[in-house]
Amino acid sequence: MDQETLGDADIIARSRDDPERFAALFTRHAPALKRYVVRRLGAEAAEDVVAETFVAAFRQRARYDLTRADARPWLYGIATNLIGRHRRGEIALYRALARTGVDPVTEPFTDGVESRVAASGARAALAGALAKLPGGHRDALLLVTWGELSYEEAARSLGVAVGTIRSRVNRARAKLRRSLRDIDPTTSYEEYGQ
Amino acid sequence: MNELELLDRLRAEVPPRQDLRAEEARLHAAIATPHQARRPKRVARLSWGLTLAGATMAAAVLVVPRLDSGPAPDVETGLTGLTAAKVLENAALVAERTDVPAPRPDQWFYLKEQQSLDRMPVFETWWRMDGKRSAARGGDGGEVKVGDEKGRTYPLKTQQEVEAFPADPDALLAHLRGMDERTALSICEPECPAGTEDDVKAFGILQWYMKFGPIIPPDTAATMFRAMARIPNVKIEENVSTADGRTGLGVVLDLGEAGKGYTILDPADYHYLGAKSVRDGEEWAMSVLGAGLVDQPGQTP
Repeated sequence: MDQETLGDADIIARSRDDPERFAALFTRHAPALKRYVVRRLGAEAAEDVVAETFVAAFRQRARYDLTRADARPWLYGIATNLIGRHRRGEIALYRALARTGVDPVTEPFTDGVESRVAASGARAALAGALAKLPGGHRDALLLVTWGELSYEEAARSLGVAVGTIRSRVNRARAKLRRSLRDIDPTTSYEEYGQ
Repeated sequence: MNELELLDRLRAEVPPRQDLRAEEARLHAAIATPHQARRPKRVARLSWGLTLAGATMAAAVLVVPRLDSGPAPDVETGLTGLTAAKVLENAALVAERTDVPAPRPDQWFYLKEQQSLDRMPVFETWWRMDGKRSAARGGDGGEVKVGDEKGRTYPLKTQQEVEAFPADPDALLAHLRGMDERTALSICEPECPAGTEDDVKAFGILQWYMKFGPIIPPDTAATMFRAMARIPNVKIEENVSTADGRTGLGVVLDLGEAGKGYTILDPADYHYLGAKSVRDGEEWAMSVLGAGLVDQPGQTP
């Protein structure tokens, strides 16, 4: 059977006997995971986190619950633990954006001048709010937004109840909303092209 | 626009496609490394890594007289106009006349590899043919450590897989296109041009099996070269550099801007020197510095 048609659980099951099969899971999920981690930690730290995530997943593949067809919650859960080791760095990046209007994370991908001009208002406010969130709330919020996981998937990633995710996301949203209240809405919306 | 939509747009400039070659190499290293019950710290573990490049096609390695039926590749005179069909037919003829002794189950398959990543030094690994043990040397001159993991993929099984390959190159190509993916280095995945996916897969699988060259039967090795020649967009480039600075004949799967994958062969006897992929102006390479059968871990051919 072509690997393209196999589900994640099938690939993991096969990789238990034939380890190199595991590489297919990387091909499938590494691009989106990398982008997610870059958005949180910047490109440099992300390389390490993504590599460690897949190496750890490979080492733990014997324990994977094969009834879970989609491996993303598992992979994002491992990544979340590893991102936690970079907590100070992550917060420092949000603060840098909040304070200076320049985002060190996106600078390598954008025209420097353009990002300086654009980065103000809402971005700075959001970054400041993200920096202040409790770690577990930030994880939950970013898994369901940047990570594009459902609440159920985020719950599996973090090993908590769905209700916990819902409550963390709601509380985090409230804090983001409050941070946006104090800024000039014209500025904040213009920068997003609205 | 609510706060979640604004958040979605924060750092949305980060492109969907990121360079993943370092991560991919580290995963391949982990896959290929004998598992240690208790691993040392991260840096030490990295130094244990092992790449998945390829191995030599012309094993135990005989210098074979050139069996020439067309313009021979010649690095000294820099002959041009080489076609994949001619070069790979020559490689097939050499392979057919290469003596590959039958390995014993208690022998070990040795592989010495290097990749173009500063953090990954040269690695040497030994797999017992029957898969009961594997061993690796961490870094130059380091201690040889025997691992405790027994997997079901092992050199004898790989040899049985290639022995089951169809003898006809076209049939082999069809067989490869229907197989599960195996690659030494990704070329354009997962964004290959539509319609080329099976070509990329077949090229990658052939390249992957080449690391077991010293235990591949001569006729099978010849069929593999001939099958590679039949893959569309496969060309020859001369004087292609390997990760360790040697030059060889590049058998190139050229997919234009999507990427190029190289299988690099020795211009004299066509043994496999390594693999390389080039995408967006960046290179990623793995070299095979030695391969063959030995009787004990720690020995080299």
